[in-house]
Amino acid sequence: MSAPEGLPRGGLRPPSQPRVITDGTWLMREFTGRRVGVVGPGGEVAPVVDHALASAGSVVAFCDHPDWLVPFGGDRVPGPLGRRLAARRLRRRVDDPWVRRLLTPHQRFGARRPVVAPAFYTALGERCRLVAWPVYAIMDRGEDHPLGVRTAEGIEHRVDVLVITAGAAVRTVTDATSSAPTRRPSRSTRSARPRAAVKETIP
Amino acid sequence: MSTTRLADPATDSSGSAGGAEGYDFAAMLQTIKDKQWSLADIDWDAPGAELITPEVRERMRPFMADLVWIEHVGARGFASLATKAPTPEIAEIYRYFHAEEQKHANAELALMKRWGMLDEDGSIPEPNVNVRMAIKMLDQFGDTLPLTGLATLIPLLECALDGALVKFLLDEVQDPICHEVFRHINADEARHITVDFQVLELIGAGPVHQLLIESFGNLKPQVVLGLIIVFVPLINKMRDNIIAMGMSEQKLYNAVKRFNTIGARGPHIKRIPAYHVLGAQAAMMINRAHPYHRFLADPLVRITGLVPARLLGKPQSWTEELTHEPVAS
Repeated sequence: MSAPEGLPRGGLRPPSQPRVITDGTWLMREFTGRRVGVVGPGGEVAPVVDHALASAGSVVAFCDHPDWLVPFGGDRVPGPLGRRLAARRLRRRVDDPWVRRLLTPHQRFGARRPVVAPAFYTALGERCRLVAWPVYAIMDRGEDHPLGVRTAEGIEHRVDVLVITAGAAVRTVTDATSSAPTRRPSRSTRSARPRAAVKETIP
Repeated sequence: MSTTRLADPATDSSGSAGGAEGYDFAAMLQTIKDKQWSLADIDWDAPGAELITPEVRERMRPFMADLVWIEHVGARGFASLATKAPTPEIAEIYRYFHAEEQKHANAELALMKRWGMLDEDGSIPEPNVNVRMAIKMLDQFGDTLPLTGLATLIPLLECALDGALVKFLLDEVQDPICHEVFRHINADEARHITVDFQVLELIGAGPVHQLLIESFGNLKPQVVLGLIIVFVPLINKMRDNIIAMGMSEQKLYNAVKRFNTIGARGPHIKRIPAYHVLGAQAAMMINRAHPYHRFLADPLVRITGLVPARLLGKPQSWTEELTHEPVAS
C-alpha cells in the first residue's frame, strides 16, 4: 500500500499504475480521490467497491448481473435459506424498491452462490453509483482523457480508473484515440480498428 | 476461465440455439451486442435544428413528450419480460431491449433539447395522467403479468410506434440529426419485433394446457380491469392527439395490419389467446366508427382525465433515469 500520494488528477502516473486493472492488483491499489469504475457480475464487483471506497473519490458499480450478498459466511448457509436471508438483508439495507429489483438476481438464471460483501449495499448512495445497464464497450482516448464505459441505454459513463473483474462480459478496451470524442466512427472502421490499449478477450 | 460464468450465460454461442424451430437466439444476442450505438456518437450540435420552426416546435412538443414516455414505459415492460424469459439467451436479449428502449427515450429527449422543447433547466416533461397510471400499473403488477400477454402487447405497441408515429415524425421534421437518430432506432425496433414474434412462436409451440395455465391461471380479475382502465385510454388519447395533428389514419391501419401479417407467418402464434384478444382490440382501436370508442375508450379517456396525479403516489425511481446528456461522470 505504498502508492505515491497526492498525485494530481490526470497527471503522470508511473508505469506500474495502469488505468485499466484486469487482475487482482486492485487490492494493492490506492485510488487517491479518483473516479473508479468496476465492471463485472455483482459478486465480483461488490468486494472491489468495498475496497475502492476507502480511497476513491467516487465509485461507479457497473453490475448488470447481481448476486446475493451476505455479510459473512458465504456459502456456509446453503440453498434457499441462504437466499432468503440475503433477500431479507437486501430489503433492510436498500430502501428504493427499484434499486432492490436491480440488485436481485434473476430468479431462474441468476442463481449463484451468495458472496460475502458486508459494505456494498450501504455504500450505494452518495459516493457509489449503481449502473445496472449492460456494458458493451470501453473507450480509451489516451492518457489525457477519462475512460468511457458505454452501456446499452446509450450513455457513456466517464471514470479515471477501471477495474474489470474476471467474469465481466466485456473485457476489451477499444482504442479510440484516433477519432474525436463525440464523432461517430464509421461502421467499417469500428469493426476493423486495432484494439490497442489493452487487449484481453475471454478465452 | 471456466464456463460456469452464469453472469453472461449467452455470450457462449457454442451452446444450444434453444430457439423455436431452431431460431438462433444466441446469434441474435450477438448481433444486438455488435449493433449497439451511443448518444455520444451523435453530434447534437450539428446544423439542422434551425429547420424546426417555432410553429412546428409548439405543435410537436406534446407529441415528443408522449413519445419519450411511451418508450420509457415500454422499457419497463421489457424489464418485466426479462424476469419471465423462457431461456437465459432470451432473458439476456430482453435485458438489452430494456436498455435500448431507454436509449430511445434518452435520444428523443436529446432531440427535444436540441429543438428547444425543454424548459430552461432542461427538466424532463411531466408524464400525463394516463402515462402515470401505466407506470403505477407496471410498478404494482408488471412482474406478475402473464408472459404471453406482455409478450404480445409489446410487439403490437412497437408496430404502432414504428409504423405510424415514427413515420409521421420523419415526414414532419426535416432535421438530418433526427433522421440519423431514427435510423438507429428503427434498426433496433426491427430486431425487437423479430425477436418478439420468435418468442411468441416459441411460446405458441408449447403444450395447450401450459398455454392456457400461463395465459389465464395467474391472471387476477383486478389486473385485467386495471389493464383495460390503464391502456385503453392511454392508447386512445395518443391516437386522437396524433390524428388531430394531421397523421393519416391509414398509417395506423397499416401498422396494425403489419402486426397481423407478421403474426400470421408463424404457425404457432395463433394458438396464443392474448394474440387474438389484442389483435381484436387493435382492430377496434383503429376504426373510429366502432362502438368500442363510443362505449369504452372515450368515456375512459374522460374519466381518467379527472384522476388527480397525486392520488397515484410517487412512481418508482426508474422513472428518474431518463437523461438527455450523452455523457455521465
